[in-house]
Amino acid sequence: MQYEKLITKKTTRSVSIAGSKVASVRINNSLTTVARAFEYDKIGVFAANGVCDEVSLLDQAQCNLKQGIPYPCRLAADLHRSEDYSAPVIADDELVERCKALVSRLNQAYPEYIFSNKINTEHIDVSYSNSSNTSYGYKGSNLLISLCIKSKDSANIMDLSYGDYCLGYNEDIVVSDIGKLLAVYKNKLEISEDLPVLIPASELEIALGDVVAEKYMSGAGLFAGKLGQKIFDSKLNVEVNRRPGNKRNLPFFDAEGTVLSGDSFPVVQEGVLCGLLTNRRSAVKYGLPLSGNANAEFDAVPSPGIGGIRVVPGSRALKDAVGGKAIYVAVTSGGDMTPSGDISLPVMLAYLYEDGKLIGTLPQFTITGNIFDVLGGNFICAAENDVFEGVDETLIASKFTINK
Amino acid sequence: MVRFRQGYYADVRIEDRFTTTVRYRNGSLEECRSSSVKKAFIRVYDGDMWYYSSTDNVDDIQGELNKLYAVATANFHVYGDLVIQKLQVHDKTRLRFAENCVKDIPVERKRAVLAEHFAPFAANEHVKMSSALYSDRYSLYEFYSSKGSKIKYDYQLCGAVFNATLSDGTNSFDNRCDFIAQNFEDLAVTDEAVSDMIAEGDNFMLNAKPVVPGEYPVILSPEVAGVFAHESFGHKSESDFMIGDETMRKEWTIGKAVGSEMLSIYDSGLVEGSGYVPYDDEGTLAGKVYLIKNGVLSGRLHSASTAVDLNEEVTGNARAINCGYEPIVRMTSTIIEAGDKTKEELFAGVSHGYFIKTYKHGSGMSTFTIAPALAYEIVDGKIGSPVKIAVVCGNVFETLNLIDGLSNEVVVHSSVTGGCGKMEQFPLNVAFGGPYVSISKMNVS
Repeated sequence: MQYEKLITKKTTRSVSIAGSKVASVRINNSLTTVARAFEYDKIGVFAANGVCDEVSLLDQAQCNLKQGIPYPCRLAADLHRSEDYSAPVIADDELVERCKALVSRLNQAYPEYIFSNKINTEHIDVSYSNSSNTSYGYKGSNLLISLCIKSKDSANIMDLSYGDYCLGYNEDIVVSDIGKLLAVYKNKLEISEDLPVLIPASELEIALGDVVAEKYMSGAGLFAGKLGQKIFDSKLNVEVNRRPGNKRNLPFFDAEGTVLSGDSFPVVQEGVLCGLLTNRRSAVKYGLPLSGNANAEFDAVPSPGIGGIRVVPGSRALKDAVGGKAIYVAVTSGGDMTPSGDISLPVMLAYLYEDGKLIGTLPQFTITGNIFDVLGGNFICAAENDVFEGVDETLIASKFTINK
Repeated sequence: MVRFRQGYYADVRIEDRFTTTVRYRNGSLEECRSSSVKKAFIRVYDGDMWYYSSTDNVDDIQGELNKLYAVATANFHVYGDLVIQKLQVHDKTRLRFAENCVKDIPVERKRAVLAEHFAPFAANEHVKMSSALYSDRYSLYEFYSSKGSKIKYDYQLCGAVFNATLSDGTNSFDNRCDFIAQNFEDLAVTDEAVSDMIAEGDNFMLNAKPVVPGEYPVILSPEVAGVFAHESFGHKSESDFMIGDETMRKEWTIGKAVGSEMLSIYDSGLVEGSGYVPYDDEGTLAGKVYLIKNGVLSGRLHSASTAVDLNEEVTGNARAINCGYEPIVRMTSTIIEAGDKTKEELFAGVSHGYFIKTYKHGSGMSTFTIAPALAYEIVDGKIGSPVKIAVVCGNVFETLNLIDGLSNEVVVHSSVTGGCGKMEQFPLNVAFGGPYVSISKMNVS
């Protein structure tokens, strides 16, 4: 019998803001230990919360081999690595006061608006080891700023949002960034339908299910038969990013200890679909490379997820690549895609963008377009958001149909 | 159980959650696990701020409570605080599922619920991938407060979900069907239902045509009508969005006409199914709250804090997805009441429009959206060809006024997968339902 073990310690501090006031603070401490036993290409899993007897845990995992769940073993051998990015963004005992200070400044600077939702810190300490003498360790910390903003004269649940996962915190930048949204919020402009549209790359995650190996190899799905083909614009690159120190606090190894060469895996390279999302089971089954996408909730058998996938920003600045005005999509609601790849995305709030700045808001509309056009013939660029200093996200610039 | 300290309000919520997950892909077992996770969530209030702790060390709840006392500030008038006054006190045990607990069902029987129904997948050449999921949950909740509440109750749901990924080499489509029950013995999976799901998905995959984006009359199935109620109006009824907001209070005055006169929507934690919540996570007894009665705004959903803020009463809607989170205002079972037309009469009123039969997901802000799975054209009052629709959406208030017909039977839809998401908390078990609902105009794309 062989085995692997994953221990995850997580500490979260979560400050809740309601009605422009710090209302509560929550402390979550969790410790999870998962043991997986392998024998004759079968897997047995057992997990425990809190402090546990690891020998007993392994015995239970071995006992669960009797379920007869097929799973390849193929453990990595004789590898060791650890990374430490655990310096806290904000010290735990300072978080409430720092949040109160931020909210106070926002209330003073923008008295016509109501602020709510969350500011969280997270510290993780994850270790992986197996019976083939491999061990990995990762410690990381990040901060999540997630603010909902509402004009006091609005009857909406919320009007705007601001925030991101980040590895640093500067109160001045947050106040300044929110100022960029609010200074022109009440400058109502007409929409010009022929302008390019800027949307967060995360909005196109609805297509990612079709690059998961099982779906792709079934012959169904949007990209069936297109592996190795150029299906998107040459400027489009998509990868799995497990580089240590990433803002999402992802360890450099996945839930079954896969470490990628260069800590990344190409999914789309210069418009060519070149990789599928796999875990150990699907990689072995279909003879595909590991993409570092094994996911495993608590005591689950690992399955492929979409963690770490990102559109790679190009080297050109957004304002230069767009070269003029564009529609900056700020808040969307519940978009989706048909089986043919037709996307429809209702836009609750959009700004007119010019030269890296927001200059006014636009009426509500819905954008539509086919995924192969949006990322193909109509694609302009993927670039870092150049509007905000405190938001580290990739925007996609492309042409869509605007439906008012 | 714990020693509460004077000068603070405190409560402790404990959940012992048992779950089973069995999953097959293409007939091969991929997952088979049963877990029990016991966690506690502790709250302390000092009249100024709430202090929360989530712990899996349930043997030392007192220690966690003491840590919160240490960072809060003692306030010997805290029981005079209006929020604390709103919190109910109950000393009640309400165990409904202990005698028929899914914990006591051998896992072999749970596997058989799925494995006995794989034959329909093999019978269709277009099925490229199949998956089947069995999921159950039994939760035993305990709640203790420094005001004297001692509550113990349970929750149970089980279900099976079958999914077919269909392709003819050019087109593809995923279709699914689910079977839900509160007791395992009531879970009724049939080959016929699985076969019907595959056949309908196959027809959709082969024949669905694109839709021309625009505004059309739409009829929603009871399942989709439920999502519509949840997304369009349910979220707007969650009062935490109104804290410190004068405009919202004026806009949402009780008694204001907000929709068609035939429309009544209520939320209740007492409805059987995935929205069954007899006590909320502040220990408030569930009731039935009309959000809209005959087109008029009649109520909203509250925690103790929002009830004080709006000078109203608690409703049993302070909920958390598990003991990792604090309770916030959430729905339970949100249901549109029946109208007086037959389903056939409703369809007969549409010369050209769309019927939304099932959905993938929905969302709701000032505009609500529903992403359909199965949708059909309606031509001269009859269901016609399948159509590919990415999203139907509309402005909440405009759409509520455009409801022009309700059928006379209500179906409540429960789910063992997914649930409602709000901010960081997803998924929360909720249910929703309604009759067939006719809307004279919606944005379809």
